[in-house]
Amino acid sequence: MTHLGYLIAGWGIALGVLAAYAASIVRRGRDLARRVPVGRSRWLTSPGEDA
Amino acid sequence: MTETMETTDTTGSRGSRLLGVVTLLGLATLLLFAFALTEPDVRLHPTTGQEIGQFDAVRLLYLHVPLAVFTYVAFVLCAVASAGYLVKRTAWFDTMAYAAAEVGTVFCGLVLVTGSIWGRPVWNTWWEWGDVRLMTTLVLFLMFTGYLALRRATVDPRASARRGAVVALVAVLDLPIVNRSVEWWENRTLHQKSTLGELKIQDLTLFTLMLGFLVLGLVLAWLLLHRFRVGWLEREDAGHGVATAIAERRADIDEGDVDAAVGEGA
Amino acid sequence: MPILVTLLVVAAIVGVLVKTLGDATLVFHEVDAAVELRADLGDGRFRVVGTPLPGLLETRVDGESAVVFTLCSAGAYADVVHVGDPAELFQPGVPVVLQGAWKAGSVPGIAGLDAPADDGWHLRTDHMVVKHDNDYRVEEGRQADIAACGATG
Repeated sequence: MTHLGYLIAGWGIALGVLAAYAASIVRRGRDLARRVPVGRSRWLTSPGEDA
Repeated sequence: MTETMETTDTTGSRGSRLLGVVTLLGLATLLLFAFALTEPDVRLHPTTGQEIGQFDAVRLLYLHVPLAVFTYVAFVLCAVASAGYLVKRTAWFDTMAYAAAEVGTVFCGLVLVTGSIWGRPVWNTWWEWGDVRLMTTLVLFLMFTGYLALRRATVDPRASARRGAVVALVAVLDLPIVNRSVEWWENRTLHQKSTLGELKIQDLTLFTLMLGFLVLGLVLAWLLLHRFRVGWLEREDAGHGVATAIAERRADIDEGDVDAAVGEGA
Repeated sequence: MPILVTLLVVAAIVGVLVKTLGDATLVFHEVDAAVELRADLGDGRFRVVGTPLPGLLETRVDGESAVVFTLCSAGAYADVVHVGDPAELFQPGVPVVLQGAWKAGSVPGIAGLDAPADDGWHLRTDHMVVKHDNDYRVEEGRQADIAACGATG
């Protein structure tokens, strides 16, 4: 395969950044969810799912 | 008003977990198609008979192009939500605008990085200052980075929302310029004209690109959903904190009044 | 603080726009335009876009490796001495954008080129980028065709 280094760098950086960003969102969400009462957590559930 | 102090420890829901699983499966499938099942971009030149094309570097485009398209989607969503905020002044619109701007800026940054990495072997350059599409995309990235910085720097939430909405509506005007730049200034860009618009792509190459759109669309949806929930919780947390502080202060004052009254009576 | 942030971002954007729009060398000329504007361009640097014809010569110029070829676009031809390493995907039939200036005199080894312009001038360039097309089909419908030597935009 030609240009393998570029392929690994491009895909690796993109997927790595997306994964790190997703993890940071999940972490921030967990911290906040512990502090906010369930009654104030609108928009956090799927339709038909209890808060 | 009494409020239950029961809390949870996640922003995930049944729907978002399902979306997450589908997205991860989609990413694995995309990697399989992009790296193993599609052929490199190699063809014979009709006159010279030599092999030309992007060779395996084309595999970066299955990621780069969908990232670019969903950058547009995120920023348009941010602008629509910003307009909605300016009209309705509701927290939902502001939270959505902020979430879309942040996710869109991450996508936009990755568009610039993956494009640069692709450009080195294919164009022979990491970056071309004269390329109008690169420049207009860089300006777009800078404007939305400015949006995020402005949101963080403004303490008053209502002023932050209002200023952010105005900046987003100005910044999004760059989007049609980015998109049409290869047509308007074709002698100032290395970028080719639209491949999909002229249908100059076929078979598995086309399928894998479409799969890239689907999967990156799922990634955007998952990130937006969770980032929106984080934004909503941040707002509620701040509001809850203020409400608690006010309640405690009131309680202190009431206690003080009682003490004073008791003292006076004694 | 918000004013400072706004000023910094605006300054960055203005800097990018000035860098992009203020540099006339960044516009690509087709070969016919570059030939037509030769007197106006003088010895100033500019960019030219075109397709290299078959018949590349590797040589040394001023102690540096160079490649000599003929560039064509919009039905016009120019001989080129490109100093330095060419692009990885550089080859006849693949459009390139070159940056450099006009020089009087023929290119070295001109007799070895298949179809030189041989007009007493050549382009001395030192920056080469490849301008690929938007076609990803495997066989039919390829745009690149050296014989036609049409516009490369």
